[in-house]
Amino acid sequence: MWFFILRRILYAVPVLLGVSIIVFTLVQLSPGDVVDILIPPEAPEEVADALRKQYGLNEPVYIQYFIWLGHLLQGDLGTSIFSGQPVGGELASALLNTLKLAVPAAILGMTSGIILGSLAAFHNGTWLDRLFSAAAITGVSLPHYWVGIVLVVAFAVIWNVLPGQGMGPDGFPATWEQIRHLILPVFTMSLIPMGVVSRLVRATVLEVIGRDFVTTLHAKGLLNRRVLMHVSKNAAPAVLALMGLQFGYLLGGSVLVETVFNWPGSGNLMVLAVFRRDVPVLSATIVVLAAIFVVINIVVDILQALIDPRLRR
Amino acid sequence: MNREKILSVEDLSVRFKSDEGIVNAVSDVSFELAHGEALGILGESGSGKSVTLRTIIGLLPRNRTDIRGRVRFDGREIQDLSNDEMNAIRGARIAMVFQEPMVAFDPVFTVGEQIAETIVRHDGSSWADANRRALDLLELVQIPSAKRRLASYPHEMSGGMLQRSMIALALSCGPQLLLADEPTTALDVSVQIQIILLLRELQRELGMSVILVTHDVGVAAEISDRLAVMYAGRIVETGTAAEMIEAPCHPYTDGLLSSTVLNATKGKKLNAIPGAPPDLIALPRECSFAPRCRHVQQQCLSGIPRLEPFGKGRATRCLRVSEGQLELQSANPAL
Repeated sequence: MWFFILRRILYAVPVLLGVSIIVFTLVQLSPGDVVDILIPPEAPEEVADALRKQYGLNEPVYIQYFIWLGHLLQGDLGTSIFSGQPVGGELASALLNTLKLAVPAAILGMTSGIILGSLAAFHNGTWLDRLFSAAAITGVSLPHYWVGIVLVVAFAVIWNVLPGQGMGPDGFPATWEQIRHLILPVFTMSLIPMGVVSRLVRATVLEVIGRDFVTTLHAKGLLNRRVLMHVSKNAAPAVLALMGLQFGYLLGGSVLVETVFNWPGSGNLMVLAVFRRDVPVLSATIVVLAAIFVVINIVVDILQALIDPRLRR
Repeated sequence: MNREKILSVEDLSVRFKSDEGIVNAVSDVSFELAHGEALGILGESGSGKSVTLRTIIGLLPRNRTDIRGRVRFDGREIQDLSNDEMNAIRGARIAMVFQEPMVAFDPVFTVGEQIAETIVRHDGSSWADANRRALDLLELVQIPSAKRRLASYPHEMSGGMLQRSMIALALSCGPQLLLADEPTTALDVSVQIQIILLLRELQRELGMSVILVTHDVGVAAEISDRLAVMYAGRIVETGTAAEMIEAPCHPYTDGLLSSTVLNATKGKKLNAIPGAPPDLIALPRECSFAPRCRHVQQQCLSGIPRLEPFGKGRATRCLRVSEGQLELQSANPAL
């Protein structure tokens, strides 16, 4: 098992290197550079050149990549061109803000997804199944930024019972006012994980209860809760894999939801970086999010192997 | 009602609803099983033998199955029992060994856990005691290095070893009745013999009643005191194993016996029964074996023959017996 974990971690190295190359290349390929944003178009060419030199933009592209990678490996995410602040600090606070949405949204969406999916599977073919499946499909199909807008209009504008913009006052521990600001965006973000997870749980549970060993469990006279335990443990690896991916997406900060609710999270940071041509912020954010994604995947792989011994090789 | 019988099945009919129509899986099956007796049910796939077993242990889905007739186990009518009562009998007093040990175990639990959980469920013992019992059971079924195997997962064991574990699991609560559904079919030939010998030894040692379902005449003959041959959901012949193998009297039994590979000689064609079994959705109102029978007569087509007793505890659904015109040769003169 330790060997499995070690190998799984080593596999992540080439993945992350690949990610860094792709991110760097894509950002390079995007038209225009930061200098165009920083100085007026009529500024003399020498000023532009001086700026390019200052940011290392006159070096060949691969040299730029290695310099950037070297800094990354030392934990230096670069300096924001727009604010002149280290990217690390901005990114950390944006990620923290996103976590405040993503964690409750993941818990809400996935728990309800698991419950709805299992109930649908165990009542396969009944009205309950059809109702829950319809709810799941609705959750997946509705564009969540649209749901966000509708909720803001309804709860914040028309009825004026919940705040629809921003995070509310700062401070720790969370105040009631902060929690009120969470309600609408968290609900909006939980819809997709709820839908996707419940559909997969339903399909997986149905597949598992059709397997031969479940007949053996019944032939042993086991009580329903024990049978349910067997079924859950068998269904868990597939569901965990999906939940890992979904949590990764949520951490990427649902760009659209954060925009709708004006939430200063990682998605918002990326959008701003794009508009400002703030290449260091953009590349660093993407690389860090990708690294988090990879870590989540490793954790999921390890959990899966702990559950299913056949995966430990 | 005979007090010595552990199980009696009376006029059992089982029908399933399917998309194509109603499947008559089992029709008018009656038999009795004494304490310590081993009954072999022989038949090809779709003959209703597995369905009969699953009805006895109550494993058929209640909502899609129509079960008629009576199954009496140890003096109680199975169909009158509640789900909870039946659940308490399953695994404790009636246990089952399945055809494919590789898929009959849960892949993500150790074999030891799967045996122990049954003991904990029915005997209410502690997990520690249950694990000790599981170890004893694995030793009873002669699994080498049983202690290590207790912590093995199913995918780490061979088919033969898993089937031994399955038998250990079935025996875990000391059942009075063991149902074995094709326990050797999925195994290598050399392993088949070991499993059969093990089952026979355990049955005699523990004095259990056993119903063994198989399509393999050799396997059935090795274990069973009595045989019942099923065809298209009906028992077509029953009697003691020795007599039936010596002198089969229903043409289908005869065909089954002579179509075994054991009777084949090199260079000669294997004796196969021509034709295929009837469609269980549209069973004919005549002897269902008639289209494949080489002794078919006009009267065979006028109704379903009754299971006619004859000789010492034998019975068959063939007109030629009731009309006294039997002239079958033995399928296997060497026996």
